[in-house]
Amino acid sequence: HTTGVEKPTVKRYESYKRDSQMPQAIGELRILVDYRAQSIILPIFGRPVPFHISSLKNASKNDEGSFVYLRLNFLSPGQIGGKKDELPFEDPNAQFIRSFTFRSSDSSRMNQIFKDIQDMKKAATKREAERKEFAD
Amino acid sequence: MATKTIQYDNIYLNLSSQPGKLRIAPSGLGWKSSALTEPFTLPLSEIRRFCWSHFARGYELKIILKNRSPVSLDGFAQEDFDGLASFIKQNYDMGIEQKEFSIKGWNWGDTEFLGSELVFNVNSRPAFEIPINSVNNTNLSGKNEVALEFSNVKDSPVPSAQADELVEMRLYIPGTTSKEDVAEGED
Repeated sequence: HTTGVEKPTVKRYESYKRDSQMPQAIGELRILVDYRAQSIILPIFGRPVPFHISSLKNASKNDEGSFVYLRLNFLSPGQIGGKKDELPFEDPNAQFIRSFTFRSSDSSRMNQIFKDIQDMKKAATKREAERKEFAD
Repeated sequence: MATKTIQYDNIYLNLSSQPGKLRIAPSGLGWKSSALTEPFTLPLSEIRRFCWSHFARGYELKIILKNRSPVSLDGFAQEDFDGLASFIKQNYDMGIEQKEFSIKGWNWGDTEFLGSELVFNVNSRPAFEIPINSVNNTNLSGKNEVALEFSNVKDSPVPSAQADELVEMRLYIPGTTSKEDVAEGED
């Protein structure tokens, strides 16, 4: 049992503070994995939009014909297996992005991105588990 | 003597893969590239307003039009702003709205419709904008879940640089009664 001292707090994370911290490669208008910022940068109608690895639930990949579909699922309320303390519930009216699906014909690059995202998520999950263990 | 036009090299039109030359004159704008036989032109009479923000290849001047989807001009340097702003003020008597986008990496916020775009805001700042005419289909894909399917609108005369194409987004929308439902369920 916990002592009751630790209240579930909103996990604070932030991909970038300034535009200049984003990698130059955003100019390529492609999906990017930025380990330094623990973030995935998605090209959404041309705009590079970062998502922190802590907001990601999982990723899946599908090959269909000459295209690769990459789906990124994010943490949101009402999901099976979702943990309450992972969600920033300060605003009950908040809307959540649950998923983005991207399509690309560049299968080798997409395979690498998929692997990088999975590796980054695994490492982040492991670090979080260790942090919790030491906090006890 | 005031200059009649200003020109910027290496400007990308509507996410084009190749840059072109942008010329801004008192009567409107023109964009020229080797990929086009005729230059792309935009008369002043079609322009409603201007926005400026950090974008993929530098800074973007976005032009909101009266009757069509916005036009994106990307590839400016931050230092270009003052020159652009004073030219547009002098010749068009319009300002340029400087927008700061959220780069926090959060997936929660709220959506709003602004003109021909759906904007996702994070912490009172826009995170991204979706042109409504690129939404192909919407459906309720679950309890409190909306799915938007996209088709890339090819209204640009130039080849696009976008290799990874967004085809679907799912949003969790809290219901108006769900707050009470959740509260009851938790008891």
